Amino acid sequence: MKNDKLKSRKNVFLLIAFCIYFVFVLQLFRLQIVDPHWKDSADSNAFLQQTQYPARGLIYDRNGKLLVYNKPAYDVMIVMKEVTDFDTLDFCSTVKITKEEFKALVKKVRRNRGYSKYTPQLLISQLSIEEYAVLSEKLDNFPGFYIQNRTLREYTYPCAAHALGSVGEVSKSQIENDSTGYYVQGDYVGKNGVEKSYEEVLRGEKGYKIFLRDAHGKIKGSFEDGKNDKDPISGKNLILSLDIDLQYYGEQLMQGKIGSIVAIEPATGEILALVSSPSFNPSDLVGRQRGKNFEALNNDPLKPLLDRPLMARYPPGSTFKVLNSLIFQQEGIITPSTRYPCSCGFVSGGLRVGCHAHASPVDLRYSIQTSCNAYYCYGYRAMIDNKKYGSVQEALEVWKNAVVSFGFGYKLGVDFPNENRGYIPNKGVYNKIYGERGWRGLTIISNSIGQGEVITTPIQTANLAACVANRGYWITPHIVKEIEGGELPKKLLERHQTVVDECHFEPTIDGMERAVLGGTVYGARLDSIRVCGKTGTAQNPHGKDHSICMLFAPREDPKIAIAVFVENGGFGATWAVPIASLMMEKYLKGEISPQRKWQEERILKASLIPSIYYQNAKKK
Amino acid sequence: MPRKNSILSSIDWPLVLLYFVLIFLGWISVYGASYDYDNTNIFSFDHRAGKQLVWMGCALFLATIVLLINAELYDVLAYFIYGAVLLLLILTIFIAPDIKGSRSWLVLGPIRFQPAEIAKFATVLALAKYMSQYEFSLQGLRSYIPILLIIFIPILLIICQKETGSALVFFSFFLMLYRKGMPGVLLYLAFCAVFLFIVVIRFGNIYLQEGEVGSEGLFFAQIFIYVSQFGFFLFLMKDWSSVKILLQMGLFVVFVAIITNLFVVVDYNYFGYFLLMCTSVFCFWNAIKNRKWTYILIAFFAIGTIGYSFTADYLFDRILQPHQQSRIKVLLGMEDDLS
Repeated sequence: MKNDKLKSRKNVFLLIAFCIYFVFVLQLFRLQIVDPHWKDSADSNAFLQQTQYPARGLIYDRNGKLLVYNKPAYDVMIVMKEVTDFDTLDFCSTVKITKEEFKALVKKVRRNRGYSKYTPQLLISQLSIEEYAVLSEKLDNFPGFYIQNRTLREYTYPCAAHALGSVGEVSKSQIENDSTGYYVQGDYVGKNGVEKSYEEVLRGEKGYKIFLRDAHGKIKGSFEDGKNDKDPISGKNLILSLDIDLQYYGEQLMQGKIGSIVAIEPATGEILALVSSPSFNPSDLVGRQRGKNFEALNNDPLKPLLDRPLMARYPPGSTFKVLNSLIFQQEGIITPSTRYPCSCGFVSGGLRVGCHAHASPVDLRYSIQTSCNAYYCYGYRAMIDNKKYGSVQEALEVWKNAVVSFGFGYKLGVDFPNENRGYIPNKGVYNKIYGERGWRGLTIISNSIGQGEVITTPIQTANLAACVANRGYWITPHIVKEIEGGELPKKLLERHQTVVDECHFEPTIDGMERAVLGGTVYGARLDSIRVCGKTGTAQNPHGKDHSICMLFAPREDPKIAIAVFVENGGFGATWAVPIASLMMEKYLKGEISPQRKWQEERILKASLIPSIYYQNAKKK
Repeated sequence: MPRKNSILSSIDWPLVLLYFVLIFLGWISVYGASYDYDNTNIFSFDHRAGKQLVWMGCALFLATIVLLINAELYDVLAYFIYGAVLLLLILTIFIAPDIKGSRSWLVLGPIRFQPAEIAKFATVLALAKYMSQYEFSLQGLRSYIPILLIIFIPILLIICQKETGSALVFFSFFLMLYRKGMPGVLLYLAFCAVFLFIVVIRFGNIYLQEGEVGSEGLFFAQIFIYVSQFGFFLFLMKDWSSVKILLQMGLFVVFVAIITNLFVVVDYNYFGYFLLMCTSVFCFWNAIKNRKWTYILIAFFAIGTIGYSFTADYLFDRILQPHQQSRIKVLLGMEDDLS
């Protein structure tokens, strides 16, 4: 070994060793310090953070009737490692599935993200309480199977599906967009209606329990005796302003019809009823059958999932005359005694807007009572072409701003997630269509009678009725009356003043009351209650005119303002008026008087769904 | 007691210390990885850590016995032990049960052990005995034959047991052979084989430029081969003037490649081939001019390694078992360990 000329070669070994250590140290540095992935993974190996789900808040109606509560549901969990021989047929019949379905489920479990044969995996979700009862008796026979408790929503009434909304599993995009990082895969979240808009109030706050587990993922006990655990905070209960009996009655009345009913308490903006027809039973969107039923509703040509009171967009028709009469007065275009002639319509040059036969000339009160088109054409032209504004553009802006002050054109800001805005044209729109000098009052005369470019939603029309009932202001319509142990958002209680002074309302309201007593809204007359109202008949490209009506009562100290839209129902007086009136009677008197039972019968039996829907459905 | 003293003083104490540090860390790791909620006593024999302690004690006991046995006994028994282990390895192929795809475990009641583990030190003994012969030296191909036989017979037997991982360990003997005089080039070639394999597998399917042009893995391999040729010229041939020419060739090709790429998207791999072709031709020319045939070997190195880089994919996909493939992919960070 002495005089070993190869001795220097041991340096190569040193070099190799150094390189290997260098790589190791580098990689260890990356794994332990730079990259948090493995630390998290190690934590999840050693600890199990079990989420404690809070009870979701309950929902009551304005009279304290329970509408939505929680029902326990049971998920079957499986720990593959612990499964030994068992009677598959017995298991399948207990949970009411076939053997093939069972095999498919097990296959699916193995493909779960983060699948481990040592930890519980979801096998069957949401067993009914009956299935659960039978299964839990036999659970000892099925090693490796466990039951996990969950809660589902349960509804006491088969109505108000749109208003209440539903609860479903949180979507991937929702998890990604949630900046607070609250939701994880599999959590339940409000999908629409109140459940969605008050999600954060209803859901409460999740807690967790930390368990220690061994290398196989088996739970060994509580970590540090639960010192670090956090109890879940239950969701807050909601008291809705909805009157569930009125809501139910409204949905009955709207059976076989497409449309909406919106009832508001004018003084508070509280929504008393929010009927969207056709509707569905909210219980259909709960539990295991949710996906299937949702699909069916989604494919229904009548679009039962569409929340029509908030989303459907119609021309307001003659109900808009009430608004115009107020604006014209405010702007000094007319006084209550201003008279315009009407011989079956408004004629100017080659333009003619028809009207039905009635006495002439017409003053403001009579114009509303008889719903005279000509009166509003004259008034509108007088306003838009008025020199005092400088130009038609400026005149239109004044008119538009006045209309917008009644809540039209934009979203009202209701406490629902899916409200649509209406549409009120401004000068830019017409400049674009006709050129800056290419239009005047006559060009856009249809706006005067609620046709033309004007688009509103049913809730906006109901809000107009509330505005008139309040003589000049409105409070954002909202459906939640009270959050137990919480406060309503301030903006829901805000008072919005319209541009029209209080003094201009009485003549218009006179007209509306006369319309009920001896005009177009005759069908809405009630004994001992002074009802005011206005019909509307909106032309539309889909078929027969939409039947529209808005009412409020009693005239002094109004308790309810209501708007009814019946799609393709024809004249407002034919369907919308009796429906609105029955709703009103139901709310104010609690029951329908015997003299009007025939009317109720007639409405309940009527089916007005245009055949076009069925033809379309067949084509599909 | 002079003899005992001599044993104690002949012990490599730093090494023993390192050994103790290692087994201590191993013991702690076992305890941490198999933490038992109900049984936290590290000395408890019901616990894996406790069992590990038993094994550690046994090992120390054996080590002491090994030290106490007269070293000459190993010298005498070396070939017998080696022969016996070879027989055991052959026997294992036929009688071992299939455990996770490998037939390398002998089962004797509750005890299972792998003869391949014993084969490691039996081979060490046999090699030591052979190489400690008077006047032994690694010179000439002939002197390698017995050594390679001693190493490769157990390797083949272990591969027959489908325990490729253990067989790989035997290749570390080549480090020892290098220390005893094996040419360093061989070690370097082995390094090249591993390095090129990894580069091609890891980066072969990544493209250099958009439009899937030019394999990154092949590109790295080409650079590596070119630089290796540099090294050969510099350290093996000590031919400074040729190194300059080699450098000029490289710069020229890089220049042309970059200029061309300004106009069309080029596959840099083609320029790599072209460069290596040039350097290889240059090697041949040098060989003829200087009458030094080693130059031809450098050319063959380039051609051979390029060919090897081509086949690395094939080797990986066809020769290696799926579990081996996935192990390499996990090692190279191309896949997550899912088990």
